[in-house]
Amino acid sequence: MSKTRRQLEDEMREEMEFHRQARIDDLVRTGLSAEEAARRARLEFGNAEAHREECRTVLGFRPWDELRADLRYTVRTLRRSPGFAVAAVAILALAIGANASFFTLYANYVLKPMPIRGVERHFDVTGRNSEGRRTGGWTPAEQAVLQEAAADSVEGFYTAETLQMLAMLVPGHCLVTEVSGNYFALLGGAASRGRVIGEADKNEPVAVISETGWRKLMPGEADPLGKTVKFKRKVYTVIGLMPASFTGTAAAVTDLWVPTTRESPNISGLLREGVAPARAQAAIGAAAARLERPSDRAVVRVEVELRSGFLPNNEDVNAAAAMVLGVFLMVMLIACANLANLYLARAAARTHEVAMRLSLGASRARVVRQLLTESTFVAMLGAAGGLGVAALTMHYANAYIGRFAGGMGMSMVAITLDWRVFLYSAGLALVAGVAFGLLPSLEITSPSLTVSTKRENSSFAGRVRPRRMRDLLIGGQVAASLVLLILAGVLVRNIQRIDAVDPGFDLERVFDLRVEEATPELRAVLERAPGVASLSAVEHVPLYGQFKGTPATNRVDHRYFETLALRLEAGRNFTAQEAQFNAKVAVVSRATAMKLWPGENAIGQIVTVNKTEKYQVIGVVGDIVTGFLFQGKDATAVYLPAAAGQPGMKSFLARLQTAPAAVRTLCVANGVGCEPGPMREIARLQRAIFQGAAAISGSLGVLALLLTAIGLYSVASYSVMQRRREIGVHLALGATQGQVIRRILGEAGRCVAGGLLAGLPVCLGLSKLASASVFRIETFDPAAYLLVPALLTLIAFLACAMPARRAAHLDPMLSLREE
Amino acid sequence: MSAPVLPGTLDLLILKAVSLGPQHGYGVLLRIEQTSGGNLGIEQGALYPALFRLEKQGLIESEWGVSENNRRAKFYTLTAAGRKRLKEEVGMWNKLAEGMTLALAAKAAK
Repeated sequence: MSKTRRQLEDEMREEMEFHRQARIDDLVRTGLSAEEAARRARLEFGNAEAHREECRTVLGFRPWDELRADLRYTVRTLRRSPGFAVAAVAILALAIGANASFFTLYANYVLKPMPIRGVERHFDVTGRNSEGRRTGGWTPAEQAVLQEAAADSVEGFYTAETLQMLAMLVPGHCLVTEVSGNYFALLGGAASRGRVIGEADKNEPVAVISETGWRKLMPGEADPLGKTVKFKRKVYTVIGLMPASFTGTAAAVTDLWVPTTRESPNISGLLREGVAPARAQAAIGAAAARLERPSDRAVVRVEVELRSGFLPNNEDVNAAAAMVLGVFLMVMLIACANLANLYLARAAARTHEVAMRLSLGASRARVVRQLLTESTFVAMLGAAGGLGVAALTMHYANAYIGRFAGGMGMSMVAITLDWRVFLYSAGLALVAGVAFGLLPSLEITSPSLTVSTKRENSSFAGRVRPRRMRDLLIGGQVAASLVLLILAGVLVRNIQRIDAVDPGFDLERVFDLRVEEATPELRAVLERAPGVASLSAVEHVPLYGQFKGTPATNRVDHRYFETLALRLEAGRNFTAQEAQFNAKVAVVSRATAMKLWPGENAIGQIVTVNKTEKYQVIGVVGDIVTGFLFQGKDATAVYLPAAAGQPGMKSFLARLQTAPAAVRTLCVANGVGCEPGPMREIARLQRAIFQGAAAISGSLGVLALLLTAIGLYSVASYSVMQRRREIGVHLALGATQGQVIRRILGEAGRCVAGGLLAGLPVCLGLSKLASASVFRIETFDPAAYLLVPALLTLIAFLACAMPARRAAHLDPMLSLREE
Repeated sequence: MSAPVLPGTLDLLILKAVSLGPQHGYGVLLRIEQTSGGNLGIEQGALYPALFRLEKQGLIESEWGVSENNRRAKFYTLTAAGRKRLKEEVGMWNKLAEGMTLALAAKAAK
């Protein structure tokens, strides 16, 4: 039954033609003339086209025929008003483009399967102790126990720990992933040259290099195999090269894979085919509970969670994504409201046409369907444009993420548009098309309006309902723009606050040397080097996170305060001796002294840290910021003496007067990798989160504002055009131009004011929510709350000014004579 | 003046006509007119949507052939499903007709 449409049509005609001929023959045989017989046959047959149409319905062609006709009609209509078509498509392209861009990120990190074998069976294991905290750390022996216990349901466990390490030979960090011996075999990774790491390589100093690693670590080298790379005083020989298609199990592309030698905080694996995660969870959980561990690390429960993307597709990730998505959908909503508005305005102009079709016998459903076809078609064009916008955005996003990650020594898997994004955009367009098309179509075909075949009515009656709806839509847009712009404003103000924060030390001159190993020997060499004004070994580097404990402590050597240029406000500094032998003395910050001994002299007091250890205070220094800059200076800081080479003293801070490259060269010459980074850079990374959020909400806000302005302008223009008769009457009856302008602006003003009043409580509610979240940001910003409504009002005024002016300059005689 | 066909009965008439042997559309029409004694007025064109519908339901099937006066024509035959349906419908119709006749023949009780 694979006849084409044309064949079926032809057969249908032939069959009916046969009927007609046979009937004519019979009638002629009864004695009628040929002409009379043809006439009779035609009459008896009835309306042939109607019968054929019914046959087509039976065959299921009707919907397609109508769709084709609707589309033809749509194209013709849009061609007649190209301005409207371009505006509608552009609005949608921007809104859908923004949404598709965000969805692309989500699809790439959460939905897109990792390039590994059996990805649909891939899972992560999380162990929880009796308090529900993560137990972390599984030793290789424990992993073997789990593997044996869960052999029925789990094909294999693997571990992969990605670390930032310093390579000796090249500047910059690189990513090294320590993997279990079965990593490549289990996940189906095959080397393009050489071989992969296997179980036998457990304690061997061998490495597999990625394409990115090859370019980064040994540029210009024709063959990486057999070459060596040095990390942490260990020399690894490259035994294999992975193809670019194998990027591993993280979004950051690793440079080198080496065999793991330690316990691993995370284990993952592949389920056997057809095994439910719950079964594996039960088996692993039972085995994990039997592991001998100290009580705080004892596993009472494990979670087995399937994960096929880089990020787990779980509630936490999706809740966060949904929050951001909400902001993007708000823009989509504005765009839809806007288009509904444009359509309503146009609908008002098309009531005559629609009323005509209805009175010619088209059913209301049929006309609504035609109008929806039109709006959906426009939405699909918008989706096509939106994909273009998304592709462009992702081009820049890739570059931005690349730069950002590159600053941390990482390269990321490139973000690509794929079928998921196409599907999402098309779906969004379909929903949008129906959403912004439905209201206007229902409105325009509503029975009360069909009276308007008599054009007389169109200028006074019949417009009341669409106008109220338009006002509501405009108000909604104003409200949504307000929320987005205030959000952007608040974020920008927070960036300014971050920039204005005084960290308490010099960000420009102080460098975190980021040495591979902070040895006393290296310290001695560097201290004497020209250009190094001051050098200090420290446990924690400021700005990477607030010091821990109450009071918070940091172990530093005797030149720390000099390096950071912290002024000693009272007492004295540690001596080198005290640092070397961890004397029971401490230097505290001013805030600590004020807090613990208000109104007293802090010198000579005893401070207790970690509940039991007692130190005598010998000095007081200024306060500094150690966590996020916006958190401000630390409430407490107790500095304890320690020296390079002691456990935990991992970092060197230096005040440099030369270019940092000289220091690096010196370190490498001494056999230690080093990558000096100014503290300013760390501060900049802190800023990046806010900058990104502000950039996104700001551009969405501007987009919303633009859309709202277009919406206001078009609605005001249409309303003026539509009511020119009414306005003409007003003018003819002696209204001044000023009165007309005031009236038009007043009407627009009411919607804008309504929108502002509706939007402000939403903003305040959201800021309440945000201030309760983890980020301690300032959520109420009077400037944003004053400036944004003012800006919106101004834009609204500008958008309506021109139509209002046009209304005032109408020639009453002309507009009255028009009908 | 012939009585208009009751809604829903055209399908039954067609099935019956086709059950008497393969026939083209015009033949089906003639057969209905002959067997009903010309009492049923059918708009001739309306036959075709009904034939299409029955074919779609799998009650009849069609094949192109040559008519008695050597023209190409589409012939319809009853399928097994059609035969079964015809039997059911005839049974139902008879019951209905019987009931109706009885009901209409009833006289007021004296």
